[in-house]
Amino acid sequence: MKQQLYVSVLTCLLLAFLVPGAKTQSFQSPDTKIQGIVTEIRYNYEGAPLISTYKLTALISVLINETILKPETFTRERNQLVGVSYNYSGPPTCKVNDVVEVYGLWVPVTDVPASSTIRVDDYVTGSYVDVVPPPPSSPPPPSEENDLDIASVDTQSEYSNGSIQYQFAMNLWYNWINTQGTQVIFFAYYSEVYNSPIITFIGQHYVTMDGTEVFIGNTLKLMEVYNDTNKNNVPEVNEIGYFFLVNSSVGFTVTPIQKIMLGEVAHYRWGVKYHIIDGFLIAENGTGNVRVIVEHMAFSYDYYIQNNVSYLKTGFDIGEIVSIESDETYLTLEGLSLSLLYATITITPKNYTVLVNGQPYNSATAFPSLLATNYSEILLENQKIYEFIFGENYTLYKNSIVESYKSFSVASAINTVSSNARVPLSGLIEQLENVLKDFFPKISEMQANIDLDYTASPFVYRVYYPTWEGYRIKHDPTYIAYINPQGIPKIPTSLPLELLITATIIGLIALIGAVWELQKTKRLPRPPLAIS
Amino acid sequence: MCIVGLKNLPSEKLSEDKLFSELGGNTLLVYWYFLTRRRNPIGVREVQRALHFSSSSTADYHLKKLIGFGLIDKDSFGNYKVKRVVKVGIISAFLFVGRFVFPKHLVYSILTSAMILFFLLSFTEISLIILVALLPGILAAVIFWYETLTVWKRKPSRITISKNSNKRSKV
Repeated sequence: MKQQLYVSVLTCLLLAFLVPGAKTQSFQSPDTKIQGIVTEIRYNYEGAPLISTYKLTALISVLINETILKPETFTRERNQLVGVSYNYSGPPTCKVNDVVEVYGLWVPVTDVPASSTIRVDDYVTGSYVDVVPPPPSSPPPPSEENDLDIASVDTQSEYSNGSIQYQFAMNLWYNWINTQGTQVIFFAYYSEVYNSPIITFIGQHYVTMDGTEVFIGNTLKLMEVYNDTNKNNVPEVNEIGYFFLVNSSVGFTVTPIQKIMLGEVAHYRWGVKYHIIDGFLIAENGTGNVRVIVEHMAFSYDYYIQNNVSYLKTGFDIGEIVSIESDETYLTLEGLSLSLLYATITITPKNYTVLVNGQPYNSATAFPSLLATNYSEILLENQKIYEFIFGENYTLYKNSIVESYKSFSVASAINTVSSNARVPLSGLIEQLENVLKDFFPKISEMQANIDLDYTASPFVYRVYYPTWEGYRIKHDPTYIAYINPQGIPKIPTSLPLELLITATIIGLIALIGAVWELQKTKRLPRPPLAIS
Repeated sequence: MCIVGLKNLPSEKLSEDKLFSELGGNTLLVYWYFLTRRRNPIGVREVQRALHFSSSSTADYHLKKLIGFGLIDKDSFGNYKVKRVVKVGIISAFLFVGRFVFPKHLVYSILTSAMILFFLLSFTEISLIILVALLPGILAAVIFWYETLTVWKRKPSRITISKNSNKRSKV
């Protein structure tokens, strides 16, 4: 037994002497930095005979996305695989499909190029393999070629819903209602791949009592986390600490639209829900972001018409933040409040006015910049056509305790929205604009300049919840439209090409037949006369 | 002035081409009357009254001509019945359905008009491109209606013949 042990030790020492790689390592500087996606991790080198001198804990295969730093001998290019020999005492933290940044020493093996690796170990000073957190907004930029098939939205039916695809992995869920001369369209982004922030849009098209066409839309632009330091119960600009962006990439479920008769009134109900979602608290001043896990986020809607008034009851259910992944251990949501920023879009051929607390209002020029309100409306030549009902209570689910608090609203000037908030959303908003531009002619013949940027909105407002602290919130604000059920606008339809071609072909055949018959008729002589 | 006399009548069945040239005037009118009452035997007096002939001998004359053409038959009771239906001349432009007679172009007119109406209702908005697409069909419908009216006006009738006779007399 002892003899076998001696032989083993002797063999190891001999190998250590013979194998150049097993020599004592000197400290070196890293010369290569790449970013890419982990395609494979092999841990099977652990416990190899050379462990004492060259401890390879994992060989990581990385598909290169970007080469940030490289020596001359580094020959790998974008979309090529490169091996990373990871030699720290613990296993790497990355997993397959993670996006990683690798900083190490390029070790070319000229005889066998495929064996060349980037060394990451204690002897390469400062080397690392770090997982790159997915950015809060990483959907593909809007392409010039709009791949969304808006034609698939069945605008002839009373109600419908479905999914339309944007590029290969980005989708829009839509709900459509067409009843009593009003049309409602709802869009919500979702994706199984990209971490796009949740953005929803709801718009209503109808004819007012005086026969004027109107389209009014609401977009939930942003969720802001603020600390009401001066205790004036208003989310002021300098109190906003974070933008709360919630990703839409995991667990998207829908409640398909359904028509329910309550008494004589038809209610159209639908909803979408995002389950166990990750989000980001992005510092307003751009100093960084913190990843959080949100239990869920749900939007539900109930649309119905009574007499000449349509009601849209919206239900927001923002789940509890169950996890905060931050190195900043001091980060706490205690005492923080939540505010939702909305922008409206109004399209009508006539001049309209937004009234806040009975006074004309325009977010572009508003002063004071924040104006508390419980009630706002849109007037069309002194005729009320739309109402925003604010100030209803919301429900806070604090652990097992259910509490009710009053929600508040402020009409907000555009300059109260941080310019930093625009960056992560601009691509998606632009895409949504394109969708609406394509869709709008299906519901209206009005010439519309669709601009969903909040800077173009005459009425930007915030609905805020002073007591939040990251707990679950449920709130049901209501929008009211004054419609003219008799003034049913004609929904223009795109020309069905097949029908057009069929009509032309049949018409041509009939015409040839008619001309042929005409000639035959001309040849018909009058009957010869007879004397009776 | 052409008078078709009995002496010219062939004993065998005349071809449709020959009939086309021979059948006309009041004889055509009598045959037309028989075609609209194909199922019933008709007497000489009825023909005289229906077509306002001055005497029964005039009616008898035309009936004998038609027998000579092989178009009608006389039964043992002295009544006459259609023996052969020929589609010659103006008759070919009409459809006989029971007692009703209408230009066959009326069917085409209704079909093309219905087609245009269907397409117009299918398109909820009327644009120039739709009008252009429907233009051949609309033209076809117009032509068919024109032909229907033209043929209808040429329908053999007592008035027409009288008018034409008067015109000829003046000439």
